[in-house]
Amino acid sequence: MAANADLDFAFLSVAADVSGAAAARPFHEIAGATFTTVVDLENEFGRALDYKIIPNGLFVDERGVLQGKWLGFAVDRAECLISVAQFRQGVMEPFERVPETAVSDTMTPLERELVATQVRLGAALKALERDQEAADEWAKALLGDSANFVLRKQVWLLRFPERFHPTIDFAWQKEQLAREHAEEEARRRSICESDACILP
Amino acid sequence: MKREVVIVGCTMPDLTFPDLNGRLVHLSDFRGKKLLIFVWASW
Repeated sequence: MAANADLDFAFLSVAADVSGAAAARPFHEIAGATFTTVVDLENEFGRALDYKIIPNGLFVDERGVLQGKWLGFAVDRAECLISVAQFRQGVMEPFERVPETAVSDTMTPLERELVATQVRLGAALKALERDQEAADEWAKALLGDSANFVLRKQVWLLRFPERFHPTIDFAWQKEQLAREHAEEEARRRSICESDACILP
Repeated sequence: MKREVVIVGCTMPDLTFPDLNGRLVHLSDFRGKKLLIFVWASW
């Protein structure tokens, strides 16, 4: 998306990369970007907006009110660009677009706090370059938030870097996702609930 | 414990993130402008 010279419009790019600025900077520089790119190391945006996939487009008005939320937003799709144009012109109606495949969040507040804490701990470990421990902590978070594909990809990036470079192996991702879902379900079945233990 | 999920029509929390040079950027820095936020990742 080209940089804009409008005084009343701004573009903010948020890189959901646990590897930080080092991972995001090449893409920002190749694009010749003049807008700001920040890094969301602890998935703060993901928690606040409750998304589990990316890329996403968020439309925020001059007062700081969220007017549009588009999960799966792509800057090269015509319909997305039409929404942006309408937003800039002040004629966009509030909306929320979520892919049909999106899984609704059924976590309790306590479970969300536990997942958030595990994500933050993983981010702290990553900052200390203790990558495998960070991946282990995020893998624990996935037990409570298995639909969180943003988190799952971060784990894969640390544990299986060869599957992302030089190209991203999407076929492997599909197989790995199925394997991990099966493992997580088996682990959940063996966890005690508050009033009874469920044995495998 | 309280967790606030922002939905359409709600005010965005004033989140703060480091830019690529480590400078802190606040969402409130953009008040007064229409803001399009694009969330992406290198993977």
